[in-house]
Amino acid sequence: MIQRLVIIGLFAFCAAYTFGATRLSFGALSTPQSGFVPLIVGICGMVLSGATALEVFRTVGAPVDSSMDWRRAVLFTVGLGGYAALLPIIGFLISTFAATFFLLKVSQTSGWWRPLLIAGLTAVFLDVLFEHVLEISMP
Amino acid sequence: MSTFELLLHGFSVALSPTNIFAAIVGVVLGTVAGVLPGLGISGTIALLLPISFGLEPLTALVIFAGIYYGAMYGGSTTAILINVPGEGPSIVTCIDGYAMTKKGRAGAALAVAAIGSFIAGTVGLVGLAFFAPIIADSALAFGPPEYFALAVLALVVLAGIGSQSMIRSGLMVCIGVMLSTVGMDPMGGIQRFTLGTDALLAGIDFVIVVMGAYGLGEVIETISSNQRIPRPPRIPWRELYLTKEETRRSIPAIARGSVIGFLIGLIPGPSASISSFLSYSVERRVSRRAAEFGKGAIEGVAGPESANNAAESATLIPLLSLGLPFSSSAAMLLSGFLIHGIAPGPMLVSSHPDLFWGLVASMFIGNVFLLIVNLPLIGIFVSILRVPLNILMPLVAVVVMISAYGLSNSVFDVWLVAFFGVFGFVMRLAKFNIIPLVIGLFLGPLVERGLIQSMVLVDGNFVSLLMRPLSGIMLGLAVLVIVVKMITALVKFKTTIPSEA
Repeated sequence: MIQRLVIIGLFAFCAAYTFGATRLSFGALSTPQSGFVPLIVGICGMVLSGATALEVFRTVGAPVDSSMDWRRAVLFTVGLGGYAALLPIIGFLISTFAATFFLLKVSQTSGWWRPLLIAGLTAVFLDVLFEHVLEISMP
Repeated sequence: MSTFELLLHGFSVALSPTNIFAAIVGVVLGTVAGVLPGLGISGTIALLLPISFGLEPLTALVIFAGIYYGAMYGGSTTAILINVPGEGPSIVTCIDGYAMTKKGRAGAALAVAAIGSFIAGTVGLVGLAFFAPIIADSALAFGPPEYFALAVLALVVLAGIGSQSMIRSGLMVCIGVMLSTVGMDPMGGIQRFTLGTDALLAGIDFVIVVMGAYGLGEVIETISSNQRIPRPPRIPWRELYLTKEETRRSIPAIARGSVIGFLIGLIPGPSASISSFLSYSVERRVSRRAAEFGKGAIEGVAGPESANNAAESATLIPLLSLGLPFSSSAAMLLSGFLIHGIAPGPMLVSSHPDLFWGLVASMFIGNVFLLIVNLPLIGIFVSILRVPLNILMPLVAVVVMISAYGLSNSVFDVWLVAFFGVFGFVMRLAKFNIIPLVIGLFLGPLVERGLIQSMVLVDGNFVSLLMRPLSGIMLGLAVLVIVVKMITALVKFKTTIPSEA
């Protein structure tokens, strides 16, 4: 199932890309323009994704790994997105603390004090490392 | 200066206290990366990228190179002790390595893996020292058509090797090249596929894609896979020896594995994995004790472990001399170069001789440290397996996200790395190998520039490209590979139809 969804997504991406490439100037063989390579690659991508789709839909898909914890994968992804969203709003130190704590809990770190302590120490350590040692200006 | 003199000069650079320390740090971290399933070379290098900002380029690269070959050794430790391969190429080591552990000869298996890795790694490095400058020298004479042809050949060969079909690899290559066209057109300065955002004007950073798809992708996969690591046995120091019989049987296997690994390492694709499987099958075929294979034959550890280390060293030849990463770990190492503003390729040897020869010399030194440090500290490395992955993985994820920000102080890059992390995870689930995509992304600009310049040069007559000796041979080879693969696929397709019917 997941293979089929992925190949549909890849085909759609290739189609959208090729459509975008047609809006760029192709030029001529002796004077290629900015759309020259994108159009060729886009068409190749569409053909190959179509062929892969045939291959995928022709065969019976491998069973999905039943030991996979989908809820955890989704929550972990939400945590990563949340970190990217919060970083410019609440600043580096607090967002790093919050994201680390959330990701630790999603990963089933037991108790509350332990993940709180690890998240706090991680945020402070990374703040010192990036802001003061590496002198990278963090948000 | 001769190669030997240049190498000696490299040793004078690499033997500075800082670089020696960096080599030790690199091999220790590499071993840790190899030991811990789920962290890997990519996660470790991604973790260290931001910390390397403050280091001299050579020192940072010495650490990255140490991680690169140290991980191969670490991967075999878990394969031998708990039947869990830390890295892909160690899968085959599980067969006889774990069988030796069950027979009470884990110490001998670990020792032969370390000695074999050292010898094979050294053979690979000698090859690197001699061949990389020669290839780089020849490549200096390349014009746009030759570069274009070389990049096309690399992409085609790469798409043809590996566990997935050529069509899937080709699709991944195309998507990589598509991603490389995002941003300003290198020839005309026109905006392409930027979706109206300024953040995409500079294009999609290769390092961001590698950190996301490999580093974060691996973390999400580990977290969601409920991976549980079995408790490893304790290995006393006195057990780390080989008997006379084991030594006698191991030497030819190490020699054969080194040669196989070195040759396979020069071919694009997962050479370390391929060479270890090939070496195992060769050992089983030439052995007089074929029946012992699978039950703890020492050749089944010595050969594959030597092969994967020789292959990893040989993969550095195309990377350093031509700037072509032929494997995922080489792509990670490449991102380490790029982050310090150094582009591996023909110019590296001539324009940064201190860096090139210093790096090669440091790898010899690191290889020695790998042998010295690993065997006595095996107990410590094994105890690392007791660190819970559910604590380690979130920390890796956070550091990778911050590293992405640190690359260009852009929150957009944090979003991008998260996106590619999820993308890498989903592609793994769907059994798509993303290394062709990463290499397509890296080689995309080279292919585009080479093709456009070549077409202008030959006035649009593509046949003229085939008339130039070097580009003609390379493009001819690329066509040949495609035709052979298509015929093979067609034959396979025809044979499956009747069986399905």
